[in-house]
Amino acid sequence: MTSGPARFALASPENRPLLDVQDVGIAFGGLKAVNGFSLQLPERSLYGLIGPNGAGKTTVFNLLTGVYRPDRGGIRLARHDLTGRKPHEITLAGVARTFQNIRLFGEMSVLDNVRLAAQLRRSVGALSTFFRGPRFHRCEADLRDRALELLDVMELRGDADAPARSLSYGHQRRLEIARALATRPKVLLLDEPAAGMNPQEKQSLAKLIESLPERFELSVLLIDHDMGLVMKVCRKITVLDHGEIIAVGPPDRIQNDPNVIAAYLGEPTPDA
Amino acid sequence: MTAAAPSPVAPVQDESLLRAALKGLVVPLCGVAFAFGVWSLEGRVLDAYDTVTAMNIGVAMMLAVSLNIVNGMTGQFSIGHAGFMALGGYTSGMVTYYGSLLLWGTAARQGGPFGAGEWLFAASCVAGGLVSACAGYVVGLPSLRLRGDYLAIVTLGFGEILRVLLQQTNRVIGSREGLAEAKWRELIPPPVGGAVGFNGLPKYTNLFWVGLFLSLTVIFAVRLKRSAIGRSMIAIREDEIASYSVGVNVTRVKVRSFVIAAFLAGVAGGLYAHRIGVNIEPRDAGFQRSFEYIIMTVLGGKGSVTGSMIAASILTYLPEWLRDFDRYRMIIYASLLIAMMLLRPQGLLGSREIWDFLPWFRKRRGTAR
Repeated sequence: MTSGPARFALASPENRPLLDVQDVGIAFGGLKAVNGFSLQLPERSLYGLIGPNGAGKTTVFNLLTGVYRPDRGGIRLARHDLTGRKPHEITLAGVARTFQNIRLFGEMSVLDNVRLAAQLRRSVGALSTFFRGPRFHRCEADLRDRALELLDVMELRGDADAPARSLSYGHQRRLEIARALATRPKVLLLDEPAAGMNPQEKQSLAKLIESLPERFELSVLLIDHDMGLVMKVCRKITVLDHGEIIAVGPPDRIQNDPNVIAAYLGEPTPDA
Repeated sequence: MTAAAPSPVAPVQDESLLRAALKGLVVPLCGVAFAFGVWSLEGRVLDAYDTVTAMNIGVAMMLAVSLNIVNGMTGQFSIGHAGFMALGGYTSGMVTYYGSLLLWGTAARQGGPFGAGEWLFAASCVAGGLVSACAGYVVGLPSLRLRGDYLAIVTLGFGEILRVLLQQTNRVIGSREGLAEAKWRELIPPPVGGAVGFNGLPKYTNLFWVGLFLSLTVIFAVRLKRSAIGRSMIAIREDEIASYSVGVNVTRVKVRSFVIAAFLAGVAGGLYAHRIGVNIEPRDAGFQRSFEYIIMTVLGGKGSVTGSMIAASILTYLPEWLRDFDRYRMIIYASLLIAMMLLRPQGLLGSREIWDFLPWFRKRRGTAR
């Protein structure tokens, strides 16, 4: 591990980033999927992660959420060291995500999808489940209220009782965001939330994403292929290619960066 | 999609909470009433033969419902359920048999309904459940690393190992004196009858105890399904990666589902061991019996409590009913199963419960709960 505690100690408490990723790397066999990835995500920020197909963006998400264990480097969220922790522990610490290929609990109702996520940090034992005392009911009612509130935000309330798999594609994407928010994250990782959406849906999604940091007191890390969306929403962007960072900066600088342009087939992206 | 102010959600009042809590106790009490109800049918509406069939159905329902917690709700394919049942049955049998010998000097039935003997029996069923639950914990551990076919092989192995071990046990000791003079090598492995089975158990099981344990099992399973624990179990079945991404402790939930299912199977085993008629045998731990319960859960629908109950009663009653066509019995039985799987692969009720098909009930349940 190249990043010791000393490296973190250099940052003063005031400007210490919420999520601090230091020189993280992972290799699959001989392929270095992600190499020397670093990222400092400030509080309540909107941050973009872009790159051509196969650049390693989703692998970065999998590293951050504990699906993969990094070969090297360190990940910290505020005061917690997340390096090598189990996925559910990382979610508990405050990192939630959505999936590029939607992963909802298809048979469960829309409400239950969100309620399941909301029940993190609230446990009811097997005996309490059998006797259903007042505590059980209060807990269930709280979870339901919280879930319905989030469904309201995502405009999914009308579908609360429908099975998640019956939702349209765009609605499923929004449900994934609602579910991730229900875990009360400090950092929200969105993996191509606009994929498969039509222009109107994309526009309302952009507005929604922009409102998230203030509303839910969190930071967003966004992956998307829609340059328009990323450039519009994000204040800062990291560009990956072949698992390595090729540029970091605000959208306008990224757009004109020759390395980035070269990475995207040698010509400026049409949306940019 | 601007951030609209969330529409007000009706607050849950304390009064309704109290009522809900009362309801929490009322339903198990209804279960007790149900037990008395079916018990009162014994000897009046049901003759001796029907009574045994009814008890078999009740025990099969308990096993199918409990297996459904692991196979149906959590989606972990286990072929060792009969092993848990047999372990609970043998444990419970040891408690009543040798307990009776020590307490009363004879293994015969003590006292009438709700006499000392029946309470010892009820306690022994719970003891069988607890021993089974411990085994469930041990078998549940590999489920953390294995999935699908590999897990199935481990659970299959558990049942088969148990079966072979039970065949190697010592002869049953028939008297208190014999027990007092027994040498260590007669007590270890435990004296539960070896390959011939555990003979001479007092026949305490009646429709009351079956009805009681069955209704408690069913209430628990239904409440589990509609609870935080049940949701995390179903989530693991639906998508394991997504479940840990929303903070489900997959390890704990899987093991917990094994422990709960094994406990309930162990209690059912206690009832099974003390039935009138056949004794509990090593064969009862084998995979053939496990498959019977798997067929019940598959036929009933994954995660459907009432579905597996219906399937359990049909599949237990069917061979009895087809007894008249003796020679073709198993052929008809198998063809019916094949037809069922072709016509309704999701099982009788899918993942729903029987009341989900009643329109007024569905409306009442809705988003509210």
